Amino acid sequence: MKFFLAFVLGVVFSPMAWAIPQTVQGPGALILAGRPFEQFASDRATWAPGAALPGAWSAPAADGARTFTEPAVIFGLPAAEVRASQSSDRLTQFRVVYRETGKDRRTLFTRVTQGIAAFTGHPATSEGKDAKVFRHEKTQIRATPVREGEVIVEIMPVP
Amino acid sequence: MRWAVAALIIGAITAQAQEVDFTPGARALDQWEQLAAARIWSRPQTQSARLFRTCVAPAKVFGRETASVAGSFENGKIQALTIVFLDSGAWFGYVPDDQQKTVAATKGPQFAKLYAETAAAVRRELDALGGPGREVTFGATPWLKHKAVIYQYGGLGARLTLWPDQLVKLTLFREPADAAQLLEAWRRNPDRSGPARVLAANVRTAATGDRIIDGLPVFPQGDRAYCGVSALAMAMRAAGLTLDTEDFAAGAGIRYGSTAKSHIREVYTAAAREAGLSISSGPRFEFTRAQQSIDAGFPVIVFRRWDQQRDYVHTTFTQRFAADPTAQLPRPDAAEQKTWPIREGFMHASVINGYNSARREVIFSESWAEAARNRRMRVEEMEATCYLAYYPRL
Repeated sequence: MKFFLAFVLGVVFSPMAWAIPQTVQGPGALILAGRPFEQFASDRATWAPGAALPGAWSAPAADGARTFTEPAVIFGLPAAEVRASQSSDRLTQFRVVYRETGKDRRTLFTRVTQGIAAFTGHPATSEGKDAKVFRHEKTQIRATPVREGEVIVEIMPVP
Repeated sequence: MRWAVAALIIGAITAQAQEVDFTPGARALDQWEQLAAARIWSRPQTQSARLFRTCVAPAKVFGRETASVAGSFENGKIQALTIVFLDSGAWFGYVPDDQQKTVAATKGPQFAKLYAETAAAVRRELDALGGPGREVTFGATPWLKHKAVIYQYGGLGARLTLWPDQLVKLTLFREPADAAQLLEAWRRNPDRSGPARVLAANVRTAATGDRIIDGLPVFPQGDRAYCGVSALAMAMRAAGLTLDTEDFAAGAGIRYGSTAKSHIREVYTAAAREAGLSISSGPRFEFTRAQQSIDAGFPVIVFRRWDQQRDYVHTTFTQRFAADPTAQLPRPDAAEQKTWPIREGFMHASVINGYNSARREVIFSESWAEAARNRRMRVEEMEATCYLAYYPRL
């Protein structure tokens, strides 16, 4: 009788890391500099010239982008890939890719945008057939369904 | 001088947050004032004279590390301390059902040996403090019938609970007579109108329009397959039954860290009977019925489908609402409803301890930590994702 789900109280870096369901056996919320990734990315200081990029990132690729090397949950969903683009002196964009191969792929875009809306506290500021754009503090968050089962979220500072 | 000594003791306790020695408090009541003042207790985010607080620092008693220590407080004074020396669920951790047999075969004998050693050692300590204890049998129902040893010494009462090969737990009571009773004093009156008034008085209407039960205990389940029994313990403690998560786990037969072949439904019914309550259940969450239960001071327990993404939505909204009570959960449209875990998703138990009918929200708490108290969800989502609901009443 499987009535139970065991939850492990995650290391409480923040109230957002309340619990990780153990039977999921998956990653927890991505924490950078002691904050959930979403908050870190919303902080103006993150995008300032010379700001450090903490966490387990790869060495820069030819285009200067770095890839997060550990599993991560962002906006409540496990990300397939997290990349950080940088110019010569600062971070310019985070790019989070979500992929779903099961039957839940049909609702992936809805679930991703639900998570973003929950974080920002607002619906999308603009939405078209191809993307939803959110504003949060000094950042823009753009979610684009690439195909069924794949969604890209780009986070960048608003000038 | 007395205050200086107390300050030194408290200072020593707080300075060594890594480990707190509860042995003085386990030996004599006059140590409880210092323990109550120490900065080792969780801070329940609820308004009540009666609070259940968990010791957030590692603790030892009689020279042994404990699995957990919790305190029942009344107006800041400790009324009871619950010390879990050994619990099967905590020792094995969460074990998937299909691994139970292997784990039982490989680690079971080691645990059985540890159980025997721990039970004997704790009993020796108590025998030395209070003489040979008085063995009593608790529980009127087969599922929760168990033996305990009652002691009286140092101005306090003590109940040593031993579930064979499962649990070694010591509960200390400010009022010695309470050690031999499963119901708290306010619940022992055969006239039900008194307890009914006490329970109803715990319900508060907040400025936001929330109707909420104050003082609900939050018992962290930790890395244990205990969400169902922790939720039960939270609800039953609110109703004055002095059994804990670990007792219900033992009664339900959650062994070797697994829920395989356990008897949770039976234990729910048995717990209600031990608490002098009736409990009705149904395969759906009924908001009207839940409102009636909560208005009477009884939390409702729901078993529901859970997923990580919806949990993120509930978590972030709860944080937002705390900062801005005008924040609204959007009315769910058809696209959102398709994302709810209705037939699939993990099974989880939560305690509903409030509602806001104008906002169409239920307020629920999880057996995770204080931070998971008073979360919020639209009624429609609870109705869609709940597959079993329990409504206790007097």
